[in-house]
Amino acid sequence: MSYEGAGIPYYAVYSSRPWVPQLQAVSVSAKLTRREAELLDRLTREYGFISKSEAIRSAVRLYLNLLELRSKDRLRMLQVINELIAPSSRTSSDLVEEGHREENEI
Amino acid sequence: MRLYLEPSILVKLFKKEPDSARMVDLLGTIDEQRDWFACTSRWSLLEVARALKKDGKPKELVELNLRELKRHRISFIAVTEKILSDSEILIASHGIYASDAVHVATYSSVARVKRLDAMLSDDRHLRRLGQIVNVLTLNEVSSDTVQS
Repeated sequence: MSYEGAGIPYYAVYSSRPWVPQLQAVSVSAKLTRREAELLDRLTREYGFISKSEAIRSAVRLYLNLLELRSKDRLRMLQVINELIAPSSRTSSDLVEEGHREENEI
Repeated sequence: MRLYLEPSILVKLFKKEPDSARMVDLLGTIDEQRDWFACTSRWSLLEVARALKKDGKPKELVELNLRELKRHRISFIAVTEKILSDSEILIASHGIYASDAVHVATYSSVARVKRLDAMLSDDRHLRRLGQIVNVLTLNEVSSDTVQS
């Protein structure tokens, strides 16, 4: 079954029931690193998801919802995510300036 | 307003700084209002990536931030042979950093065609090049012109 006409990359999406003409859902596989798989195992248990699939489905929905926000809201959310994951007191100017200095030293 | 966005300004989008909220508003205005225009060098993406990596952001977050940057109404101008040649001359005559020279040369190469008003930057080195490029800071872009 080809998805090319529908604009879906056929190489990444596999039908869970290829014989059903009108697909209700598709399965998408993804490779995880060992660390990510362990984290998924742990968080699935800690947050009480029914299964790892359910945890991944929720994560994907949350991520896609974030990307669908309107421009300014998305940027504000990304700023918060950036600061929570890697907080830093260094300013943008200092970071770019430092990069320039290093490149000039090469 | 029609602006060239220098990397020090673009990095603000992904950090919490005093004027980073203003930068988000500005980009929102650029996205939504047809009479606003923004461009930057394709090279800026590398500088933004480098700055975010230096800031300790993990690979996935740097990639997400760059994808986000490409999603907005910002034109990314290719680094051509002409821009590189002009950059060499700028370095020789003004003693500026190579990256700054690429931005000034890119700005000059498109300023007339794209009818640019200014280069938006926090880089104090570029202030010295006032005769070649009109440099504005975020504070100088009137808060009245940017819709919150």
